Amino acid sequence: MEKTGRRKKKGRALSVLADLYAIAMYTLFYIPVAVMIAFSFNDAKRNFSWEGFTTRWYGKLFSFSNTTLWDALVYSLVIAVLATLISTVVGVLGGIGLRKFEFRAKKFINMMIYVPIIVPEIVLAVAMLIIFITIGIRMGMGTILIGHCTFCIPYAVVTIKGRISGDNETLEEASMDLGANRVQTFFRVTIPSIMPGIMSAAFLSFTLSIDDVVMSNMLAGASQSTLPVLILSLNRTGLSGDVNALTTVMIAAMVAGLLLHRLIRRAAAAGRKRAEDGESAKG
Amino acid sequence: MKKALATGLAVLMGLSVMTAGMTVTASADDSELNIYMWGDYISEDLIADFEAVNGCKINLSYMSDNADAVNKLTAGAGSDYDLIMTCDAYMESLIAGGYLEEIDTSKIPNAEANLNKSYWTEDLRGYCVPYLMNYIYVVYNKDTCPLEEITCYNDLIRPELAGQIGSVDGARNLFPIALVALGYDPNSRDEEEIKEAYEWLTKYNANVLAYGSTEQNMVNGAISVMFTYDGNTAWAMDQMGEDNPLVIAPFTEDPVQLGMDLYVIPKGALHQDLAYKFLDYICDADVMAANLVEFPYSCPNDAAIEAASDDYKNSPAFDFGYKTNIFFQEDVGDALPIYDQYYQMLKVG
Amino acid sequence: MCGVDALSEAIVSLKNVEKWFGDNHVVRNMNLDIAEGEFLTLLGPSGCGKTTTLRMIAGFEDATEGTILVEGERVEDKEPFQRDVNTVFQNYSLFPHMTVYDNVAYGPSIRKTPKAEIRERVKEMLDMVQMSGYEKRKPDELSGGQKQRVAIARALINRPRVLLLDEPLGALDLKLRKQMQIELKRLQKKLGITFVYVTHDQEEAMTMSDRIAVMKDGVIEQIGRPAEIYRRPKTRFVADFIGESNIFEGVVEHVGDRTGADGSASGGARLLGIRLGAGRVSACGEGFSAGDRVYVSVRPESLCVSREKAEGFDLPASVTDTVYMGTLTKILLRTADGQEVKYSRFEQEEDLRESMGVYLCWQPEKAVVIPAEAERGESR
Repeated sequence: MEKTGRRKKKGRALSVLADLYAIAMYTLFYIPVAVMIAFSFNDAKRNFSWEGFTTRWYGKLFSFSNTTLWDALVYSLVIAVLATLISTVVGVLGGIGLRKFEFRAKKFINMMIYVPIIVPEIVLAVAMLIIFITIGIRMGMGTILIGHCTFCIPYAVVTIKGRISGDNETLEEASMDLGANRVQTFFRVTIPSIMPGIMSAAFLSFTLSIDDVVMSNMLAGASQSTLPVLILSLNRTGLSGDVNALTTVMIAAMVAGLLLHRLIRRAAAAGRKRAEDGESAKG
Repeated sequence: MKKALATGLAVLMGLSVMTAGMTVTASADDSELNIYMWGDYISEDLIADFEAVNGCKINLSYMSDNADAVNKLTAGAGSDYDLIMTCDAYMESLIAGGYLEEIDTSKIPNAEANLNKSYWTEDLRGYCVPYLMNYIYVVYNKDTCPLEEITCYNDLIRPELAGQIGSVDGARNLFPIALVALGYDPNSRDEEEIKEAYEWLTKYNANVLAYGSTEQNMVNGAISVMFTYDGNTAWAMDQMGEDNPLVIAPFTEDPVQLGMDLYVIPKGALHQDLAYKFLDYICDADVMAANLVEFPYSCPNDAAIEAASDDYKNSPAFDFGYKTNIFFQEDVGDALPIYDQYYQMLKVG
Repeated sequence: MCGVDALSEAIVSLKNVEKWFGDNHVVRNMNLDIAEGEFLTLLGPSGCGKTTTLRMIAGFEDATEGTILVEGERVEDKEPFQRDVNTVFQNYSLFPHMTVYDNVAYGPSIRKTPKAEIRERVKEMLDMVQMSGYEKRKPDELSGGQKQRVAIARALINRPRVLLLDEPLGALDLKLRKQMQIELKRLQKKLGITFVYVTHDQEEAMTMSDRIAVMKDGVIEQIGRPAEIYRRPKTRFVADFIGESNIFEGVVEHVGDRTGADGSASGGARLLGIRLGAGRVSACGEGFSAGDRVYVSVRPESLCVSREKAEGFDLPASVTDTVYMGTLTKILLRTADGQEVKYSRFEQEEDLRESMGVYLCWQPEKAVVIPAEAERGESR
């Protein structure tokens, strides 16, 4: 009796500790975000101290004349979407190829795929800048895109490769056994069965691309900068509130997207549950 | 649905290839001007006016570090731009490397007429046009500073100031004041002198409470002395109100560092005529005076200061007596690694 | 050869098939004819080449040498999706991203069958495997047995003439396994489809098969009806692998006349006197002569134990252990040279206590004599 009591006490202490740990971690993650959101309502030119509540940064952000931030955001988004598409497609092909086929240089390629990940980005960026200049390509969206792909593709390949297991191979065999040719099998079985991997590769690529400063900075053309480069440039004299406002809007959009996704999934699950209940009542 | 997806994918891929292809060709007509500079550092109204008057489009893209401009220029990407902002410390090597177009000052009469020649020196005149400047000087709070007065860099290492100083960071900002304090060339390339400067800085280091965020620490009262930019001082003075206790240290002999942001025309720039027009435009007294309202920094344009608002002219942050007793950051060439080495020693302790 | 009665009826036939994986000789000179409508089991321990054989028929592996005919047509150059055989996989291999309905409908939908027809056939298949009502579930919402039923429905919807099953019940618990065995057999009879079934479970093979091919090291050791294989194993391996067996090693001492009552049925079988390490025994065998090294295989239930020596037998042993299992009693004995002997019987004829000394014997025609040189595994 006493022993179980003590164990219970120990368990409670542990769970309190776990809670504290969770709180500490979340605090660490979200306090900066909270501060940033708070400062988007701060009535001060520079975000060092709280000067009072205002929504003027949102006014400035959404005002007609404020095109600099929005242009940069749109530019960043277009690059990120394209980089995501390209690296996901290449990632799927590369991941499957490196997993499924045996060839002489496989080990070497498997190793070399990590090189762009390991090599400091600035080194790659400078090298690419020199290459582009040498072959006469002018800097611009295309060069930034290529730059982003050099580090997005390896991540995509590695992520997708990790999701392909022996099971996928039997699934492909099952598909061909049922009469599907290789193309049909690829689109109807292979791709859907590694979809979670493809999705994480896509998210990873998108995040890496939209976050990137080094490549975007080095390989940028004269006409437009990406959002992170612009923000970093603005940081020289201190960020003004409209940057915080824009970031807050972006976070809000992301959270809204996640909530929507949850809602849709929950609705689907509820639908399936209903169908099942109907069955079990029947059977 | 799958077909739609595949088509969409193909279209997007094609698009991306096209955009990549499009960037290969660049027009040499005078309908656009490409400027690479710091973000939020020039009045948008000024840009818009220039566009309207000249019937062109100005493309601004932004650097995140002074080194970015140097990287672009040395890699050979300079000709993507018509004007690039850089700072005086890099000028010598950029000129030596042949990365810059020579500037024909006869095409920019406003600059000739308005810029103060003690900043737009003989050495620089053929290659750049100064835009705005910053002093790095010493400011103290006369109510809380343990010293009665600070008149030279050597005062900063006096033990009374322990934990009292907020300071800007960076090897090329810190070593020059030590060298000046020791009576050497602020851009010395002599290892012995740099070593001595390092030893001086260890004493300085002991007095420093924090590097960076100097104006914030000053406003909060965490420090009583700061070694910082004039722009940051302006902000702090503004925050602390009309009768603020901040005093720009009345230096008697030691020169202060002046940094300049200047425009250069990169070698092979495609729209040089328009670049000249732009340079002349920003050197116009009224144009720059209007720009100073939004960006109240030190300015090498005497006529513009004359034409500037009273607010600007009376700003206490620019009101000190030794404005022309200055030194510049210069290229130190081979000595840079020595600086870096001692700087790291300083940082590691 | 290991023939079907009439070769023309063979729906699948393998001729001189060899399979190498690198240096690994997995299938050795395999000749096999599978008759239309039969339930043939490839039985053997893991690594014996049975799954590889199945995969060669399905088209997932190419034979290194030899010919494979399905419905009289050579299939070497046919892709898996061009072959008129379907497979039920060991791990079910249901498409995880599709519902039960879509899984089953996969085959016909690939063949561009009209939607209405697909719906009908899926319904028919799910009814057949008693899975109607589960159409909207995803595979990970099904139990193992349910997954297996869906996998069978999915493989049968294409109406193949041959269904290949690769240890389909391997992942199920014993009770469900037994139940599914019966269902599968019933299904096969009802549909009249040829089943080629791979398993390592001899009991399963015995329960379901029309014929069993026992494989070892890439070779078919014996092929025949379950009772035949059980009663007359041709090699020591088969005797050992199929059911429980006591195998004694010995040398033929003399060859006598056939004296048993059913002598005519056994053809040329003779009564052999055989010397073992621990005694002498008798058994019936054909084509042996004195001096041959042989194995004598006796099932535990064919063994007799008595206090006296029987005619032609002199094999003393002592009881080491008795295990009562309801109606059956299992007794372990040990001969003089230390060999363990299994003996089971249904009733308590005589009180057998541990360490009691007894004599072993059997009806000579119940024992199987196997030439020692026929045992390949032993010679390696």
